[in-house]
Amino acid sequence: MRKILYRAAPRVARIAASAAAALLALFVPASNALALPEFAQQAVATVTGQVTEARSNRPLGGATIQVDGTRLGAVTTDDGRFRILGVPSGSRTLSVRRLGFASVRQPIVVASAGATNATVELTASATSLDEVVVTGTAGGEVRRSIGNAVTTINAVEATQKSASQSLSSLIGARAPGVIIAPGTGRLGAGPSIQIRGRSSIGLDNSPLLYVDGVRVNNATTAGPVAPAGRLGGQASNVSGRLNDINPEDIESIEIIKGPAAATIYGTEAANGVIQIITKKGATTAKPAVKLQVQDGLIWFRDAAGRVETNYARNTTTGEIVAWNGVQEEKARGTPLFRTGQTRQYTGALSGGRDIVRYYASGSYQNDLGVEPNNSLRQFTFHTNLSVAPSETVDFGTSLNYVNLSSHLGADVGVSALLGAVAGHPLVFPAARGHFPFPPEVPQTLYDNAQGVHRFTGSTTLNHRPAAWFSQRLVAGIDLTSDDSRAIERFATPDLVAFIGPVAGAGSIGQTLRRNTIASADYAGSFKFDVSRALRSTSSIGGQFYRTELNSSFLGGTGFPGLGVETVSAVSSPAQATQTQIINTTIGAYGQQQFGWRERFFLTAALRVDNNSAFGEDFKWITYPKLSAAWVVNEESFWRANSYVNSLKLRAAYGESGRQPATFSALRTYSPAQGPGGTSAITPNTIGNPDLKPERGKETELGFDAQLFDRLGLDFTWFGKRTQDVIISQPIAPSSGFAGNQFANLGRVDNSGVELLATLQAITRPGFSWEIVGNLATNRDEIKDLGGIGGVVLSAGQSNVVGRPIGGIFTRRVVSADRDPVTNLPINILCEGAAGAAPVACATAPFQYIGTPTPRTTGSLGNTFHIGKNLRLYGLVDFKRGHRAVNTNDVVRCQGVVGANLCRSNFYPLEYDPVYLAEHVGSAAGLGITDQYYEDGSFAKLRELSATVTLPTRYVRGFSAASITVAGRELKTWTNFKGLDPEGNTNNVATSSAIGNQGLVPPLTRLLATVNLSF
Amino acid sequence: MRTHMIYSLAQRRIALAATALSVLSTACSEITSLKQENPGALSVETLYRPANAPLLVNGAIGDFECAFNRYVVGSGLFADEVSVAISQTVNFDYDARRVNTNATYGTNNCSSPTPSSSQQPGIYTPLSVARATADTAAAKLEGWTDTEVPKRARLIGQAYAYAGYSLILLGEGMCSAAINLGPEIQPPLLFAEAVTRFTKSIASATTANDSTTLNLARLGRARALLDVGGGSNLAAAAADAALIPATFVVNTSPDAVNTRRQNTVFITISQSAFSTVDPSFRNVLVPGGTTQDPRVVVTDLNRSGTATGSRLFIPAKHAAVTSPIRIASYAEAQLIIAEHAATTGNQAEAAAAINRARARTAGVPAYTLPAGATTADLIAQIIEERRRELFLEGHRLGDMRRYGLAFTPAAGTAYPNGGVYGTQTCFPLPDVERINNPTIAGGG
Repeated sequence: MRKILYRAAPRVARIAASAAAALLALFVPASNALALPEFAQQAVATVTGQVTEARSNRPLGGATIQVDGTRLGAVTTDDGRFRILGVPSGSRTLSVRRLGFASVRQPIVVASAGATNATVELTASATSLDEVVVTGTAGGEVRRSIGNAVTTINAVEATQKSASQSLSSLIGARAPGVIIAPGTGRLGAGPSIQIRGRSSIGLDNSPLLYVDGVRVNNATTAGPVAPAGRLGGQASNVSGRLNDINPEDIESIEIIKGPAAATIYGTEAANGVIQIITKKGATTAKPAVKLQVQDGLIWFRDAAGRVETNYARNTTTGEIVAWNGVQEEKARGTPLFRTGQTRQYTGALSGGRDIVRYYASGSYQNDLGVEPNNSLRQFTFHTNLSVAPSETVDFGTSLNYVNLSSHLGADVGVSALLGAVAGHPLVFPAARGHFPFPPEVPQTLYDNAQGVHRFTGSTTLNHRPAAWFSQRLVAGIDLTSDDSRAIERFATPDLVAFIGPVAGAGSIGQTLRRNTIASADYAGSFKFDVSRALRSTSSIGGQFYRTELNSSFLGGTGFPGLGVETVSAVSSPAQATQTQIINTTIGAYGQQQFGWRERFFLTAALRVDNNSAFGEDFKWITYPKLSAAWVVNEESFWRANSYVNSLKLRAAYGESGRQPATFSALRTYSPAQGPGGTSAITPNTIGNPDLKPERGKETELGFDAQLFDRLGLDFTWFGKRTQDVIISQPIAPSSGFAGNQFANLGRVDNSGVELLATLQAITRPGFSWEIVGNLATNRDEIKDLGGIGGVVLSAGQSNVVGRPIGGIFTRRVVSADRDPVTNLPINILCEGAAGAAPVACATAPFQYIGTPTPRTTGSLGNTFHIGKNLRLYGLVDFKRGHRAVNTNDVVRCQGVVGANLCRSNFYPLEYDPVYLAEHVGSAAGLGITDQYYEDGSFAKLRELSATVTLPTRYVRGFSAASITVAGRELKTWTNFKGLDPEGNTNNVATSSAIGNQGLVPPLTRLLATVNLSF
Repeated sequence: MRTHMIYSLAQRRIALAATALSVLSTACSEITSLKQENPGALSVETLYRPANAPLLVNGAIGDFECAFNRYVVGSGLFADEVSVAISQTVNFDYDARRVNTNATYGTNNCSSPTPSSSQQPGIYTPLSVARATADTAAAKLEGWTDTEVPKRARLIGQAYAYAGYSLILLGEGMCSAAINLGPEIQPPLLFAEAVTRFTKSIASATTANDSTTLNLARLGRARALLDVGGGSNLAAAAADAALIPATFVVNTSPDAVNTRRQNTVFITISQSAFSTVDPSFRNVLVPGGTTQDPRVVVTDLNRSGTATGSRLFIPAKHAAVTSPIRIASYAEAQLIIAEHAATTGNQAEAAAAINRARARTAGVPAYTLPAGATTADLIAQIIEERRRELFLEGHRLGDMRRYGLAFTPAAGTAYPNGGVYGTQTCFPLPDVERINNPTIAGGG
């Protein structure tokens, strides 16, 4: 009898637990446990001081000070001050580090009594070569030895400047080549992330996400789903899990971007890896308490101006009547959109004495969106506890809990916005002009709600039994449980009048999900000096990941009356479904690094993986890696060039993978109902026993430089080839199976450059100006599709060899005349085949006109420090070289709702005949959609803020206090005529398709934040 | 003493390491198999066993009934029984008989998207899958023994009968099709394949003494022979039809919840407002009377669809999500007999057969043969009888093709929602088959 997995799972867990327990015993020799501090018997004193920026004397908060040879240390408060108790007297050295600054080791003499004062100056450096970054190996690696690009975001500083309320806004525009796609402005909707563009056609392009070393849920598609045939839940499956993490709890974020860097992360890492390192406590004289209160407004900026005015002809009078739904509702006293609010309260306690350090925080956020059925309430609790019982052992736990309740509102096809976009009172007189019903229908009746409980916990054990050997074990779990409900409420008679009694009786679709990710990661590192100049570092590691998603859907239609909204109350139950998806990865790696005089590093690694989603006939896969880093400015021949403070050249080649979708290798049959409800089966997936992971092969070349003591440059060129790209190939139905078969048929190439530049433009006492900019390019091109998909049969997006993924194709009008009587276009000709004359549009070939993926992205941020207490900050980011579809115009101009509504439909003389030929009448039906796929390029004033640090004399009792006023999404510069070029119904991580019909765009926020520390 | 302690510590660590390695190795052997299973589905390894024979045949019937539901709406939209009520350009193509070969008639399957979520019912894929599951079930059953499978002959008869009906609908609705990744074949060959399966079904059902399947297969073979056409085939069809008892009817087995079994006509009209009964069927009066013909009663839902000027009407016989749809019936058999009689000059028998069919529905008066009626008159009457009797039961498109009836409005006429009516009279072989079937793509 065959085993079934859910029975096997506990056994596996027990065995794994036993193994872990045995390993733990190895890690913690009893003789080392709870050793006393080494200086317990010496005279001790207090060290106080301040850390400042070297040129401007600006105090630097968030700097870590460590007394070398001890476990004593502190973190500076916002005014740069620190205080360390119990420092043994005599000559000591303070090691001071802060992200974005070169580390400093400063000797001091600690008096035998009283306080010793120390002032430490740090110099800004975009790429500190001695900074330790997480690489997957035990203990991390210093940046100078790494041959690939790693972008580090100082989350503390970025959060303070931007008042970011979400992880996505924290990452957005701060790392070159990392695109955050917000999709919709609805509260509760999660964004998707894309690194270095698209390289997979059929699989998720999301990077892996780790929090404190454990893999966590990076789902970008989750949320309520309505019962079949019900519209109220449209496009609500948008609740990505990325923003569950409170930015205030994050210390830093490290991003590696592709196979060249992610090899030892193995299968699943080809899209890159995002490591989130949360805040930890530091040994301090007394516990540090931080309180933050944030209050602000959310609004739909210039809604009336951005929603186009519609036109219709009064058939009685012949008059052309203009109508703007947003303006009309405002004039009526029932504005379509209100001003929402955001409020967040955060408290954090941190500190540490002797062997223990701790950090605990809690936050409560309560946001109201711009529509009454859109809101978000989130409570988060986070703790970090670190214990160092001896010099050789330390361990820590990181616990994070999130309780989220969001109401997503209604979007896309049933949004109040679409009602205004596609409405006109002459067409929909019964609904005040709105299509298909007035705004009170969706805003009152449609509630797409999600309740989330999420727990993420991890334990990290570091063991350094000898100077030459260190090892680390990380184990953790990420458990997400959500209850998502797409509810159409029972309608009152006044609303039934618009939707009819069937829809008015309401419906519910309830999706219950439980997503569990278990991680175990062991890494060991052996270091020894082969000679005085040559150091060898050997690393080994093994990982185990198990992802399990259980989901159930219940629902039905027809509530008995007002206020009843449960599944058990429906008169017509919908078909219930249940899904269980389990994916398991096991892998190991070995890495060897040689370092020559700490200046030249050569690293080679090999990763081997197996994954349960591989086909039966495909087993283990190996990924190699080779990289080199050369700190060239430390060579003797370079020292004359004093304007180069540091220069590291790097090159890397690496491979990584992306496993197939969980069940895509299996041939399966689904349970079904036969006649009379008897048990039956029906063909489900045809499967592919040979299915293997996509393999990304990437080369990176670049350099990290610090010039003129003020300019940091981080430049990377990358070229990536993704082979065995999994293509979802349609099956000929006569085979007896429907749908698609996944096969490793394709190849996609990506290439681009990335530049991160940091310039300390002015650094004078009392005034400094810092400019941070990044620029990234990316080109993706399909090189092979296994001989399929080369023919474009209709307008829209297709995957075609030689073009980008999701390339946009349309028939393009090249000439048209104006009919002298109707003023409408006649004699319309479209572009013919290459080199051929124009032809009638109905027979014209579909021409490639662009890609949905931005080719160039970047940002420019400016920070001004004026005096000691004022900071001004602004960030503009841009995306260029892609197209965005104006679906709203397709609906308006093509008569999709039963009437043409665009100005061009009524005033043809104002428009060129070629434009008219592409925009009105049956253009879309003929495959002429050129005008609707508009240039999607834009620049946005994404963040603007002013921070005043209150002098301590005004805030007695507090060690620091500051007030920040910040705005987000303040201005857009674009030629795109739709509501917002970033609006997208589809998740860019899982789909190249674009669309934005009736989609609420990203919203503008104005926030005031008060930070208090004591 | 000291030496002893060190030795003990080392020994203990070795023991711990050995334990860890041993446990890890056991764990790894458990884990590294990484056997992927889908607890929500059956695998090939577990499915094709004699004990699962009823499961396979029930699956074949379920697949057919689902495909049949979709076909009734899709073919009705393409023919003249149903028209569009939703303002979606893709849906207009069905109604205007101008479908692209990559349209969803070719790719939508039965289970997903559901009729509630897709305005365009799948035609080719559901029927092809239903044909294949029935053929596969029959082939597996042929390879097993009576000892292994109780009531094997009955199950074989059922599997072949439903394979035959899938082939009939493929032949009546599609311009061409393929079987088992074979070459593109035209409707006459599809009907011939259907006849072969019905003959096998009749043999097995006779052995099993399964009268329902026997009559279903006989009537199926009669319909297939009628589709093939020609005097001898028509005679053979009439002979089969004559064996159908007056009480015979086989319906779909609807369900209120299961989306594969719900009445698709109801879903598409009443629940989703995608379609409505075509105006030509909205007020069909009883012959010689002033009330609606009971066979074609439609109800005004007093609602509009989003398509310009649309109004929702639903047939009384599809008034609920649980309304069954007739697959085969005595009335159909009588109309086959009538057609044979009419073409062979036996007008009295033709009229009698028409009346035997009419008598099955209360309120329909008897047909009186007009004096001087010609064969053509009788055939026209039979066409009209079939139009009414078999309304929205998946016959109309096949009848229009077989009788060469004009599709109205004519090709080239302006379509109210944009463009013009197309020239298609059947669903072309879809790209999904043409491109991905190696035999066809390779020129076979």
